[in-house]
Amino acid sequence: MLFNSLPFLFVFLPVAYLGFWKLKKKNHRFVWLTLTGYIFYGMWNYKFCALMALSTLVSYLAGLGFLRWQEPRIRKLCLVVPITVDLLLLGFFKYFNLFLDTLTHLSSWLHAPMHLHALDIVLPVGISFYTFHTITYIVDSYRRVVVPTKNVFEFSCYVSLFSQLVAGPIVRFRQVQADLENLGRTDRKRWLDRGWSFFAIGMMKKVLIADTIAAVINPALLDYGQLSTLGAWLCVLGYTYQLYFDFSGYSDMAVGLGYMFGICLPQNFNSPYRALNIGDFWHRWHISLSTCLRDYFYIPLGGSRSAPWVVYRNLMITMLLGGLWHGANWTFVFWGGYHGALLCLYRVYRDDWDYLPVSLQRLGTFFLVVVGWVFFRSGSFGMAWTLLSRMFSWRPSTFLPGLHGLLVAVTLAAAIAHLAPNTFEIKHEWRPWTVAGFATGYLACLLVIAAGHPSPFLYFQF
Amino acid sequence: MMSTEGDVRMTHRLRVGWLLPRLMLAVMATDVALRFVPLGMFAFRPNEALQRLHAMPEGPFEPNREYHNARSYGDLAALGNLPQRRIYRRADFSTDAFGFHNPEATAGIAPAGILLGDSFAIGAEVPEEKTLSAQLAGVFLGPIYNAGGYLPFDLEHIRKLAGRLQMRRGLLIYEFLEVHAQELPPAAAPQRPSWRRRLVLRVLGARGWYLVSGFISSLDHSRLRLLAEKFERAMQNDVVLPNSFASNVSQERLRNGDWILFISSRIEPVSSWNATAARWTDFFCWVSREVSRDGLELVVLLVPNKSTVYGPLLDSPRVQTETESVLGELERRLRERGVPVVNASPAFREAAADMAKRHQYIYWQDDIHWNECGVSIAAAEFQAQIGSQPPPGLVSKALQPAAGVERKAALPPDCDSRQENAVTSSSSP
Repeated sequence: MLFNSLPFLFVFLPVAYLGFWKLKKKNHRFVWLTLTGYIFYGMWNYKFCALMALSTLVSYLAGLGFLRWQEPRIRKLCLVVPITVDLLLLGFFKYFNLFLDTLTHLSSWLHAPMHLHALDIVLPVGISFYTFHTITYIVDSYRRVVVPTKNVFEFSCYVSLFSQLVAGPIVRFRQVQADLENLGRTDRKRWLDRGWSFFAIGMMKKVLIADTIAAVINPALLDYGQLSTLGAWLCVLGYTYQLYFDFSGYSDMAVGLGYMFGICLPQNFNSPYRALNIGDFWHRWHISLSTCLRDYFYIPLGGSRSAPWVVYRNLMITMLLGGLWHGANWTFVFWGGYHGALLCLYRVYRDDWDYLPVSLQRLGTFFLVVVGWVFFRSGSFGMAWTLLSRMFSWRPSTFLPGLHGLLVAVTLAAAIAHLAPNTFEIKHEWRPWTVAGFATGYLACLLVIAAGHPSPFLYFQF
Repeated sequence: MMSTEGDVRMTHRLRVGWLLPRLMLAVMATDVALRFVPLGMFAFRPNEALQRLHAMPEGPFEPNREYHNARSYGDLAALGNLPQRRIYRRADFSTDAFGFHNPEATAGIAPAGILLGDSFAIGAEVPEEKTLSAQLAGVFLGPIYNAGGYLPFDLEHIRKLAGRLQMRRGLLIYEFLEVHAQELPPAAAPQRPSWRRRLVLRVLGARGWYLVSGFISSLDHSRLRLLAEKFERAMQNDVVLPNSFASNVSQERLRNGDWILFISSRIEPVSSWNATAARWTDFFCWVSREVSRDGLELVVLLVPNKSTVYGPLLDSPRVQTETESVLGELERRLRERGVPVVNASPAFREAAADMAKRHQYIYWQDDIHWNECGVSIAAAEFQAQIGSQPPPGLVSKALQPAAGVERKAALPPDCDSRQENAVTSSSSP
């Protein structure tokens, strides 16, 4: 079920909302949110609910283990076993076919061909996200950053909370623990306006901007070999904004839904295209993932308090893993490596870069990020090279169907992304005419959705 | 004091958290209310306007209904979102008590035959008096009951229908479109209804099931969605947004310079039919054997795809070789097994080539289906082939030509009047 679908808006959300506020006790609300989370998830494929339940149970038991046992050896066991289970599940469903494919190519390259057939594996939606939820809980419990919960309903509610279940933000238990503890005493009206404001802004970002851009660039990118220089730049720029408005739109909707149910989810995007350098970009883009990568990979590897080459190694490993997390394709790994290399270069030339005028720093960072998205969007390296060659060598213009719509959407998207305050910078105290504007935009979204083509969010595939 | 209260109320109502949920409710209420508006107001042709919502009638449409539209147009122009390719024409369509397309004038008269088949047999794209059943009625002594529809073949239903029509003997004409040769024939024994359906029928009864199925179907037919889709299609004009529907159809140019549309999935000749041709032959033999016990004689009418007829006439011709002629092969096999068969393909190709020189067509340029010229050729071919060599066992009375109908080989009819009635929204290719 998608947030931008009529069954969600007209049936699921009202029922989940009214049922939640009808219940008074905390535990009842935990159970209700768990139930709605499983129904929400089961609408994709009910069989995968068992997978999520297994991951939840294993992590919950690990938490109980940390409460019960204090000996380092047993605690380590409580850390390693559930994480291994989680990673095995993730590895099998997400990366097994990539592994087979790579093995086949390698063996063929070594003149010892192996014929390994890919398995017919369906990737469970959101597995990367809820696996990260459970892993961060286990690691934080092990490090004694959080006190593991004894309440199984509270924990299952945290893992299966439908607002952030399938595409984040990656919420750590400690970030919502206080809200979960107070769930029985939450005031319904306190965050209602803010919640709807977030939700409507997210919806408009996704439906009116991201999907409009996608409607033009997706058909054009199907035939990427025929693109002109201008067409290639427009498509890549379009994708740059599509991805941001799609994912940040989803995150805003998730935060808004969280508010409606009395849970404050963390900020995931902080105007990333206004970043001054590549390090700054990663402080602003998909914040919940980048902080996870920092806290659970980069710092344990040694972080930045080591010799320079160790720092570069740590950066590269972290970013390569970050790339791999996004999908089972080597183009994602390359994209991660590209950003890792940029981060290393920034560390080397930081003084020179920071000396540049601010506008040039912003422009330069944006340019580097846009080039990186070419690898992120491309299904293969062949496509990436072709797109890059189209962008950086002159090829006369050809007609791009829907050019007018693309130009309007990209201009609007650029103005919002580069100049306007982001959703967390807004006060969400709207004047009547702004509310009317909201209503008009939201109505337009509902009509587009009613046309029957709700498009999935880009990050669902990761 | 008054104004303060008013301000407070105003502030309360113009909050996002107050307004947006109510806006959603309003949209939902509008969607529900619009469901009481007849579908015909949103449709461009009978197939959508009168589509069956209830479970009970056997036919593909709602029973005892009428649809009139002076500006109907072709399904391919709609499928490809190509308003400039629409050829506007009048559509008048009525259904009988069983939900089949039969004019009221034929009600109560025992028919000389029953016509089965798909949308070509239904004939929504031609005037009611020019459908295949109407034109075949001119050949025989009595009307031909048009039982064309989308429902799967069910021998029991046909027997019941023949009984209701008080038809003791006559013809069973099976219109078979070339594209179906790729599919497997229907199962000889119809599938038993699922246990859920049987349970529902037992609990609700026939009337209850009729109402419930209508309600459930209406959930699938949101008028709000239709309106939103119309808006979406208007925006997808390749200027504001690219036309994502265009790939559904293939726009081609004929050697005479005219444009013509094909459905993309049917532009290539029918392939991989060797195995299915044998199965269809067995199926028709079985049907022929079964219905003969009820006094009915099966005649199969083979109708070619639009692409088979016009493929050779394109600027870059797509010529079907003899080995690719699925209808020829099916005709040969059926004749060998003694099943009466009429293959309209050669006559269609000949007529299409001849008429294209005069910019006249036997299929609508903007539609998958034949026009009345195509139907006339099929009827004339039927008369010529079945009339000149009556298959053994055919009811002789049924094969007597109607008064004034001359038995001769199929000739392309004069289609000028029909072409003048249609208005092309864009005559240039």
